[in-house]
Amino acid sequence: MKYLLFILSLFAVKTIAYTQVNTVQPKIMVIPYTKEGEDLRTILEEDINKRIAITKVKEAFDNRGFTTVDFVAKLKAAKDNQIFTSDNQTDIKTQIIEMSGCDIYVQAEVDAQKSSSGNAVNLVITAYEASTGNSLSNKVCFSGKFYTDDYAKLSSKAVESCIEEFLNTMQIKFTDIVNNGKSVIVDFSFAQGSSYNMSSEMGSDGLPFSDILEEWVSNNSVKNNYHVQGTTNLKMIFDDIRIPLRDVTGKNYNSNKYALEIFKFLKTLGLTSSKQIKSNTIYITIK
Amino acid sequence: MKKKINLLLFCIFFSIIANAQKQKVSTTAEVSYLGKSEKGTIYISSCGYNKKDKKTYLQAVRNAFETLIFRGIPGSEVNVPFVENEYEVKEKNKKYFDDLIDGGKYKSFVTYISESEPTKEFKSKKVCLQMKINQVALRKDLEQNQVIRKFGF
Repeated sequence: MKYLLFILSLFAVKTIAYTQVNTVQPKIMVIPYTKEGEDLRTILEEDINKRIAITKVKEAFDNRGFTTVDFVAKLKAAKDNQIFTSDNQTDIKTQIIEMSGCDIYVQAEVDAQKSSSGNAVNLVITAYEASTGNSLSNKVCFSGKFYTDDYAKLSSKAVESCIEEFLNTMQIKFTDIVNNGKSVIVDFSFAQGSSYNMSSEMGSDGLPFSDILEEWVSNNSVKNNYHVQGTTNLKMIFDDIRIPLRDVTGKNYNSNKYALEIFKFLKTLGLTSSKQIKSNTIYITIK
Repeated sequence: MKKKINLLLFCIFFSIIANAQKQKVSTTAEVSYLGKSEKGTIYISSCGYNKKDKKTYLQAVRNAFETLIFRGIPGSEVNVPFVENEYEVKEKNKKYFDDLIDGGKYKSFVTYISESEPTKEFKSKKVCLQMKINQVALRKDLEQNQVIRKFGF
């Protein structure tokens, strides 16, 4: 009887453990659009309309039960840690996206229009996958023309007019990711002084290394979905490899685990390598 | 011999009829967007056809909800469907969809409804409804019952 209870409890624990695996959700951050030369650090502080637009977009994510990374908090942390060099604005944006560890960033551009027939706000919102730059959703929202100088209200109206459609499009792209895997970039290169290159013949068939790599990626991507950006004698870049969100046991799968798979595969070929992972980009250096 | 042929023909005829009865009648897409209403709701009109009055009304409701969930309403903010694979999802969540229309659960999502006078069209009665559906609550309910995924992966 005790033995039976023990077996039953083991089953129960196993079932609970399996059902408790939640899919890791992407990290999303909403940032303002900056033109060349504009200071990203002060742009939000100076412009209430941009702050309202960003808050409204974040509110829409919250309404769908999704928590976003707070851009202002990240900006503050970045300031405190003095990670910026103030002369290159584009770099600051890239640095903040990298520092936040977000998978997706949503860019909001507010354009206030004044005319004798009424004032309006145009809002351009675009969602990008941070690692690949793939565009996930785009919308141009218009507040409508009103005889008012309350641009804050107009910004709010512009967001409300299209945010649902924007999120619905994003959700379609998420469904595609669930069905066809998420994108990672893999960059293969050789360390200085390495005796190998992409033409080196390897394996039992003596095939060029680049072809062996492609065959492995082809067998280890979701539904054989991958794209080679280019191959030279010293480099091979896969700019889009679809990897599953979960492994065969139902546990979450990510770029780290995929990098480990590559590492193990290279070992079977007798190659020593080092791996570096930055969000969804994997850098493999063969020694 | 003639008896056997007759029996065979009867069997074929019977199986054709039986198969025809199995096929489900598709809903019509006579659902259109009427314009903006309160935030979170969608204002639409929907028509239903049937030989019986009560069923005509329910058919119009079914058309409205099924078009919203499985097709999306062009011109509205729900221009893409909530559900991608209609047949798979319907089969997997049969109880939910039975409760939604036949069970009357749809009433909890309708914030306004008005019914037109029944007319006769194609030997059937036709009823058109104008209704406001709380689409935010409907989406949340679909999420809570795991009919659709929450926002995200």
